[in-house]
Amino acid sequence: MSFDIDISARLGSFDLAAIFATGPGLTALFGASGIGKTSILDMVAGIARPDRGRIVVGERVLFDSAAGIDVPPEARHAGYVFQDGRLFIHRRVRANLLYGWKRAATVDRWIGFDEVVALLGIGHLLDRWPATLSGGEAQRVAIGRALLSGARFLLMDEPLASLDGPRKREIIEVIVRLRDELKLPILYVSHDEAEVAALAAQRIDLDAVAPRREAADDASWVAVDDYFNAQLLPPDSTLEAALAANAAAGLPAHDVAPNQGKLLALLVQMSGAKRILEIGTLGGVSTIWLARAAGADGQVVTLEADAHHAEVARANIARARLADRVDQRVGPALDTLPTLASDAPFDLVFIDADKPNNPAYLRWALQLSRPGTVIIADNVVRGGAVIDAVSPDARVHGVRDMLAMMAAEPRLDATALQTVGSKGWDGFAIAIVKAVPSA
Amino acid sequence: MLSAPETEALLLSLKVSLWAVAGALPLAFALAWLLARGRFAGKALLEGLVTLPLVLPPVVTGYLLLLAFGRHGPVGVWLQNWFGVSVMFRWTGAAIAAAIMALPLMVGAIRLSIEAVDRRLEVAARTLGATRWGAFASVTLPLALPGIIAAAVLGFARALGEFGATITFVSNIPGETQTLPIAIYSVLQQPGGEAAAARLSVIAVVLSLGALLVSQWLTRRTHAARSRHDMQP
Repeated sequence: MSFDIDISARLGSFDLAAIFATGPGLTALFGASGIGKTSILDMVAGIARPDRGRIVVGERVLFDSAAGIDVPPEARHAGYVFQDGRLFIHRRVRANLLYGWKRAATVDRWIGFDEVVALLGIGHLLDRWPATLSGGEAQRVAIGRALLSGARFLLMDEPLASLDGPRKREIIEVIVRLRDELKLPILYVSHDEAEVAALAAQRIDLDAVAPRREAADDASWVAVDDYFNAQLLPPDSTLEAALAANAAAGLPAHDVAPNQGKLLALLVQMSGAKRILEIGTLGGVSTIWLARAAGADGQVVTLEADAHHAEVARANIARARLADRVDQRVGPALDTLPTLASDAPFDLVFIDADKPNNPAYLRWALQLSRPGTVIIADNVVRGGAVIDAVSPDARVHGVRDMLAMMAAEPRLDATALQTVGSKGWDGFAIAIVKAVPSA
Repeated sequence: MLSAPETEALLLSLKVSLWAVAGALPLAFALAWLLARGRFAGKALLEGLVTLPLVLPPVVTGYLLLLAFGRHGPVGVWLQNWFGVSVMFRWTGAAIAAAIMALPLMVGAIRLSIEAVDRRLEVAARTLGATRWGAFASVTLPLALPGIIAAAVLGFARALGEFGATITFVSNIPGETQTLPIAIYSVLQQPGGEAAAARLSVIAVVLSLGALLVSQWLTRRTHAARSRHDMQP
């Protein structure tokens, strides 16, 4: 059970963008104050709404703007421990603890009242009013209230911030027990290095995950992209229709930018590629670029795991009158790749699918290649996150492992480039397959 | 101690005021909620309209009620056609007048108590499994309740004292619309009525003061209970 988060939102003066995936255990969201850490917790709990994106906890999709999913807060089973406690001042401690318990379905009551009271050592506080509790006592009651509400994961917003030294150690012990004995996944916001080092199995540096670029940079990158596109790329109604169809179908806006698509087309023509393999069709925009460049006698085999994406792409490719040179295969690429032996070798392979599987895709690309085959892998910079060797994001590791393979593989000669533009800060890797050196 | 007509006026006043508060309370709460939490065009206008009876000469309020509820007034015609009733010169009309006059005070008090509710507690309730309505019923309402009760008591006191709008709207009919203040006014018009006026005035003072004390006590009690340190059994 873990958190898989990809959200963006406009928050007053700045844009929040957070993309990360965690393993089980306690994950610290680390970063300077004012960077939107609490907003991320609010969005996971459902009490704030991202403009777009996806929030998955374990197997449960809590929010997905593309699919129109937005589970209400009361059904998310989030155990939110607020920085300020937020105990109900009109109820005694016992009634505070039982507030969520009374509303939870029997199956969600995975922990008992007595167990929580013993775990947190709050038996002597049950008949007190919240106003009479110390900061540490109130924080323990708040944790107990969250556990008893049937929480399946915990969101903790600087729970130690308002406590003094001894109280801090007391609550840290409690949190360690929640993490180790109850095995609850915890998303923990903090800006305290020591605290994070003591508690967290993983640390997500929000400054690195969502680099806060100067807005002016972003705008001028887009402006330069617009200028290049206007200068060098004639208006293309087919591609515009495809982009519009993808947006209308709720596909993520990961289509290649026009000037980047044109680069793909140029690489196809420079290498004289006729047989092209694309891993990751998405809405088919890059497929259209590749198929056009391959010419009437070319053939593009394109793989897509998501049937909905493939359907949208099929319509786009048909509209572009390229259906006869595109061969769409639907299903996880690791299942469809082994069936392509008869289509091999390919002259050019474009890898642009789920990043954690990048190393496997590269291995298959090699398998299906010949000396001279060009291999291109997209999105290798990830806003700069690629340099984070201990990143909790599986996508970053997918990219890093692939680059390591490219370096170590004697049959490959490779480089990678950073790009900025309308798609933000990213980049691609490009490699050529060499003849196997004789041993 | 009291003569039969005086007792009648006292009981009528209590009846009129109770019904006025009962009728005005839901409306006052809805208006207070809108003004405290709502964001809409024309909020300032609504606020002005709600406050109007507080600053308008009561006679004008009574006259407007007369126009609205009269035999040819829009509300009067509607009540007559649909329910076959008229509030003209009836105690129900007195209750309506008292409710309108008490409304601004009640809305003000309830609005303050809603605004004082920490909305972060409502958010916490949602994360603990409460629906929007559940959070309202279990957090917002109980926290605002002392203010709502205080508003009701204040409204009751205001309704007891209502004179100008009532006498203009439903006149001065013993046993039907002659409430305590109107009875005091009537006995003062007659020679030798001073003693009766004094008796009735004492009752009015006791009732009003009692209501205000109850209102203050309720407010204080809730604040004290939540911060008491000696609540361990």
